[in-house]
Amino acid sequence: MDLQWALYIAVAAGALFTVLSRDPRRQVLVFGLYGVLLSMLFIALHAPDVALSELAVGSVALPFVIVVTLMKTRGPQA
Amino acid sequence: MNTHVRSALLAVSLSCFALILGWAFLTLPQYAESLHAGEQRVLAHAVRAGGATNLDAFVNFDYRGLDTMGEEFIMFAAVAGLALVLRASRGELEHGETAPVEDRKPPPPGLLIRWIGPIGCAAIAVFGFYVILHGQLTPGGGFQGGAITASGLLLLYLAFGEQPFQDEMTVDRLDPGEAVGVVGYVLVGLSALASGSLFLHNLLSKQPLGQLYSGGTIFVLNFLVGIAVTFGFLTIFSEYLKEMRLSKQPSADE
Repeated sequence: MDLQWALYIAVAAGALFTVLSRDPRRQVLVFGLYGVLLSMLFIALHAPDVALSELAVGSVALPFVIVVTLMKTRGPQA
Repeated sequence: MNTHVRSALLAVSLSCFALILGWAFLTLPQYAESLHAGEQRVLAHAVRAGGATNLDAFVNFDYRGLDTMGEEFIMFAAVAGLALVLRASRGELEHGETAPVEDRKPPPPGLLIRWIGPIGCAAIAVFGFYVILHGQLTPGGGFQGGAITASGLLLLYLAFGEQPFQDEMTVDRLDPGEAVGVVGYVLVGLSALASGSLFLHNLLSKQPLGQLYSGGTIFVLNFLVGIAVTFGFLTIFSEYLKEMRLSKQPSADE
């Protein structure tokens, strides 16, 4: 139960930091970390299928799509 | 409606939401200690007659296989819509493949990624196949394993550069792959109809619990969903990478 509470607080903090990151490229990385924390929360809540889905989508697919969209709309910056 | 009124409305609605959410949290039953009557019956039926130890997969593919078929079609429609929009905007629908336009020259991949990329991709792909095939026994299943496998194949893009990746993930390899997965799911369901049972009824025999084939049609449906999801994700990655290829200076477009 303590692990669940710790992960709840960590997920809330991760969401807060994701929203407070103003630069989109930095926000994508913070969002990836938030996805990992959320996946750990799902494991602690005895939902491993959801945790696997969240890991695959939130760490790879979603940051990939966001980065490509950023590059497409803002031009090839470093 | 200026900013202050909006902020006040937001504060009021957020506080009401917080109150109701807090009350809901406090009156929830204690986690994982009480089962409803419906859940108990599904549990009993799943282990005895369903033959699957991953109850999530059992509910998704045996009990409510029709809903999972709808989810598969949702993913298929999303990928098809994305491919349609992006390929049409690039002009590929009338003229076939567009000529690759390289405006930016990314640096060639370093030595480390050229070695670790294929090895890591092989390891991740094997793990992804394991997750797909053992969907009825261990956590995972078709969607999770497909997403893992496609993400592992993305390592090859990092390792070898974009052009070799696009040469392998061509449209006429990816599109039929996804179609095989989605159509196969429907055909499995129809084959149940053809033998006189309900649509998507679990026909195949249930081997002893814990073996690879213990789920009956859950195994076949998991495999087909894994194929559909892998190729769907690869289509998404390929289409987005092609969009990156054609990116010119933004001032010309905006």
